[in-house]
Amino acid sequence: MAGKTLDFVGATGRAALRFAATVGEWGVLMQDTIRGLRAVRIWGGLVFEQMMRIGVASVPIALFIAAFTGIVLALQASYTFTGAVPVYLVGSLVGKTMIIELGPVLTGLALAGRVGASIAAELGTMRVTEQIDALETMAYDPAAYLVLPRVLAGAVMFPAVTLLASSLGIVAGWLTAIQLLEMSTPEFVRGLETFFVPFDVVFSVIKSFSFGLTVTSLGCFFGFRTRGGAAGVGRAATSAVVASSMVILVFDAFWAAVLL
Amino acid sequence: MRRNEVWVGVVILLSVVVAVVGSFWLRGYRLTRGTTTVEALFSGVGQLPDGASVKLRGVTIGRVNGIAVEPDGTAVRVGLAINADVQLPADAAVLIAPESMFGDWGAEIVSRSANPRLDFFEPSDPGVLPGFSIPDLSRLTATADEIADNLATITDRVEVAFTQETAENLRLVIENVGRVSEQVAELADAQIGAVEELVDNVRTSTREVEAAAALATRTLGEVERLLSGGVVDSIVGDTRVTAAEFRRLATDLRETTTGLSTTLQYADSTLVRFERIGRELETGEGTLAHLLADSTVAVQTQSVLTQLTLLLEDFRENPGRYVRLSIF
Repeated sequence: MAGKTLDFVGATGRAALRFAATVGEWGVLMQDTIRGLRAVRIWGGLVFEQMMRIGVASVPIALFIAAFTGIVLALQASYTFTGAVPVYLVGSLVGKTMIIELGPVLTGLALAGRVGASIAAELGTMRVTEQIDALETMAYDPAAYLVLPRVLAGAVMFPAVTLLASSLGIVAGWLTAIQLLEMSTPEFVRGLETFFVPFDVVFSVIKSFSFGLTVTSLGCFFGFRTRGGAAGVGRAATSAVVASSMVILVFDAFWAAVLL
Repeated sequence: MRRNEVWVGVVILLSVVVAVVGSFWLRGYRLTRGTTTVEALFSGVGQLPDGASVKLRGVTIGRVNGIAVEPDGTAVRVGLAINADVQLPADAAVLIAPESMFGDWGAEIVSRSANPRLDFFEPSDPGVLPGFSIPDLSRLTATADEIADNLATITDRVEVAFTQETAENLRLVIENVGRVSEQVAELADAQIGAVEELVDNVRTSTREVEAAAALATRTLGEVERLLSGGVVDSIVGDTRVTAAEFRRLATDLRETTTGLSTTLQYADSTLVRFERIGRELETGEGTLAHLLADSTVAVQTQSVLTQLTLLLEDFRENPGRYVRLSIF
C-alpha cells in the first residue's frame, strides 16, 4: 500500500517535471523566435503565404461555424425567452454572445484543429525527415524560417477571421429572427444596440490575438519536437490540437476575469 | 504570391471595416445626419450607460455622449448627442428611466411643465437642461421588500399580542364601556331637573345683574353729569384752600406750643420763688413771716400755697384744661 502510494506520488512528480520541462522548451523556442525577428530577410517573404494558409484558407470553415452558431443562438434564445422576457433581447443575446464569446472561442477551437494540426504535422514531418536539421546545417535559423512566419500570420489573421465570423454569426441570427421567429429588423437591431459597447470588439480582438499566438506557437512547438516517424507526426498533431484547445479555454477564462 | 497578398489584404480590410462600421452603427452614429450636443445635470443617473438612447416623444433622436460627475461632486453632467434637425421643447428637461425590466436605461427629453411632480435638478447655467432620474426597479423592490418585512413584523407582533385572553379582556372592556354609558345616561336624566333649576337661578341672577347694570348706568350718568357741570372742579378748589388753611394752622400750633413751653418755665421759676418764701415763713425770717406770726393767717397762707402747688401740677399735666385753642 505504501509502495503504491509512493509510486503515485513519484508519477505525479515526474508528470509535473515533464510539464515544466515542456513549458521550458516552449519558452526556449519562443525566445529563438523573438530573436529571429531581426532576420527579416528570412521570414519577410513567407508571412503572406502563411497568412493565406492560416487565415484566408480558414475563413470558410470559420464562417460556416459562426453562421450556424448564430442561427442556433437565435432559435434557442427565442425558445428560452418566453412570457415576460421581451423578444428584442434575442438580438442582445446573439450580438453579445457572438462578439465576446462564441466568435473568438469557436473560431479559435476550429482553427486549432485545422491550423494547429496542420502546422504540427508539417513541421513534424520536416523534423522526422531531417529537413529542419538540414536548415540548421545550412546556417538557416529554423525558428525565423519556420516558426516566426506562422506565429505572426496566426496573430494577425485570427482576429480578422474572428471578426468576420462574429459578424456573419450576427447576420445569421438576424436572418433567423426575421424569417423564423416573426421578429422585425428594428426589434433585433434594438436588442443589438441595447447592450453593445465598443469595448466588446476590442475584447474579441485581444482574445483572438492570444488564441492565434497560442495555436500557431504550440503547433510549431509540437512539430519541432516530433520523434518516431509517421506515428510521431500523428502524435504531434494530436498533442498540438489538444494543448491548443486547452490553452484557448484557459485564456478565455483568464481574459474574462482580467478584462471584464 | 501576388494573389496571396490580395486575398490576405481583402480579409484583413474586410474584417476591420466590418468591426469599425458595425461598432459605429450599433452605437447610433449615422453619416447622413449632423448632431448637436446638449448637456443636462442630474443628482444621479442610476444605471444609465454611455451610449444609451435619447428619445423625444418615444422616437430615438440621439445617444448619451459622456457621463461625468461635477468637480464639486454635487451633480452628474450628461452629454446628449442628438440630431441637429430636431426642435426641443421650450421648457425641455431630461428624464432618465429604465426602458425595460432588464437593465437597459435610456434618457428621454420631456416638457418640464408636463411633469410638475418630478423634482428636476436645477442647473445654474441656463444652457444646461434640468434632469431627473427615476429610481430603478431594484430600489423600488428593495423598498417594497422592506415594507413587506415591516408588515410581517407587525403581523407577528399582533399575532403574539392578540391571544384568547386579550380577546376576552377586550370583550369585558367593551361591556364595561356599555355599562358606563348607561350610567352616564341615567346620571344625565337625574341632573336635568337640577340643571333646569340652575338655569332659572341663572335667569334670575341675570335679571338682577341687569337691574344693577341699569343702576350703575344711571350712577355713571350722574357722575358724568357732575363732572360735566364743574362741581368736581369746585370741590378740588375748596380742598386746595382747606389744605392751605391746615398748613397755616399747623404753623400757629407750633408757635403756640413754643409759647406754652416759655410759660411753663416762668411758672417753674415762680414756684421756686414761692418755695423760698415758704422756707422764710417757716423759719420766721422776713417781714412776711413776722406778719404771719399770727397762726391763723399762717394757716390760711399755708392753705393757699398748697392749693397753688396743686394748681400748678394740674396745669403741667393738663394744659388743655387751661389753654383753649380754636381753629375756626
